[in-house]
Amino acid sequence: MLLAMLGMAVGTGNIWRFPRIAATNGGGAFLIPWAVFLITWSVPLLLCEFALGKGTRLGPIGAFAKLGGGGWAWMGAWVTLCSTLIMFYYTVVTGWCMRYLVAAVSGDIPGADPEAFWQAYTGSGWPVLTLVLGLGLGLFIVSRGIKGIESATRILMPVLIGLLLVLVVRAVTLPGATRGLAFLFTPDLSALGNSRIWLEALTQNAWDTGAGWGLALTYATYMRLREDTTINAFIIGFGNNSISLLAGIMVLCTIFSIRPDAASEIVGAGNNGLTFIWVPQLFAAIPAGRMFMALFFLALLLAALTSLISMIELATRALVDRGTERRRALAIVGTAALVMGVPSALRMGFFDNQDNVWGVGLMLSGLFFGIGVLKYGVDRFRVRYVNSEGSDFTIGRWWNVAMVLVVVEAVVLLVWWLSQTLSSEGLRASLDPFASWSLGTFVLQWGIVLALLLIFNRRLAPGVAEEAA
Amino acid sequence: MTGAAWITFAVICGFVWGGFATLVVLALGKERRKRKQSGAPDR
Repeated sequence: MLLAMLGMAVGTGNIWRFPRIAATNGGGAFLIPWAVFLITWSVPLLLCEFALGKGTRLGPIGAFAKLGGGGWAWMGAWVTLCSTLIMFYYTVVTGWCMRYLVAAVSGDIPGADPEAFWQAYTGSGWPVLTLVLGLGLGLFIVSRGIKGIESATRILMPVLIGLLLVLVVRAVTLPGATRGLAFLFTPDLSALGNSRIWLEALTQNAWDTGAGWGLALTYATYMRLREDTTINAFIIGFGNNSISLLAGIMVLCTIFSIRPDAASEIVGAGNNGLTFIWVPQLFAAIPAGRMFMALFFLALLLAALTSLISMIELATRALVDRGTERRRALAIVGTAALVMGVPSALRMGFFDNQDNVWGVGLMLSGLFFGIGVLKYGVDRFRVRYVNSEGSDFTIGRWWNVAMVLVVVEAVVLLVWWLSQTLSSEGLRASLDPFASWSLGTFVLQWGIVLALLLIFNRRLAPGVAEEAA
Repeated sequence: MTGAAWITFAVICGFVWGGFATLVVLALGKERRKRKQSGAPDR
């Protein structure tokens, strides 16, 4: 179960986002707030999710309803919907990884011009086919139940970690690789006064540990009573960030060894640009590069797959909690993922829009967990759910402070995001509801979802006891 | 690599990787003790 949870946390964000964000935000200076937010955001939220899942044995909707009564179900439904909507376009990412693995093995890249290959692939109907394959694989694993997920991750996670270690060893032994290490670890302490670095570090922790997504909560519903929640929460947080650090070393050492002249351009190329356009060019320049490129895309595919199955399980569990038979629930989730994933597979603009809207929506998910615990009573929650039966380690009052901090961090992050959006786009442009990144598109989509959830709130978790009253 | 970069490397990697390794060892130790107490065989 621990490996399944680690697989949930470790995704493509560790491999393609962390190196880029660390490199563009001061390297060594970025790593300090990144480590601080591991303790003040990721671990407290993971602990909250573990405790709630194990204590209620219900997915996020039922867990929130059980925590605070039926009136709170909408917050759990937001968490569920947000992660499910991310799953819809994440199937597309999984498909991309599959295509690039095949292309690396067959020699389609780097033989072809990587940018032309990427444009031709994403501009064709092929992403729909790879989406179907990625989704099908994810559905197959989840259809085997929690035992199937555990069995799959027992193989996938050690292979993923092994692959990353091989790639890191290759990267750090390239000539000039120490320039990458120096770039990543040289601290510019004056940069710590820049609020942007702190906010990027918080965002990175929020996105790549899976804290606040409801995924850890869902897996925790299957934990045995005697299993400890505290140590598992810490292991997932530290394990996830350990893998990010490995990925950062691997990517930056490779870049600075092969193209130090283009380092800024490469790390500024965005997730897709770095991974699907630059990585093939970088690997093409090293001995046995095709093999290492195939290993890189295999690692990326495994990271995507282990996260995808946790998102499919979350959506399935939400339906099962409402009384839907598991096989039928999985069929509904699979059909919805296919229908909703196709627009993202065919149009990059739609993909980017969904990535922006629901990626930022995760800040609200984290906020809801924090608010839920504060409203229930932090001390009461800690005694009843965190320090429950089977806990080997007792969590002290520091966690009370940490949960208050989580709420403060989420609010600060949302206000910062709002001011960034307004200042970068201007008021008129930021109100466009059909732009990829605008206040208008966020308000429209979040507004529709929140309105529906509040209207149908009482029907979201029927039969769940209102214990908080 | 400057001295400051090496120190950052040691502190950050020590904290993250060292923390992870320590937690895994702690968890395995606890699990082994629990199994012994319940009489279940070690895996």
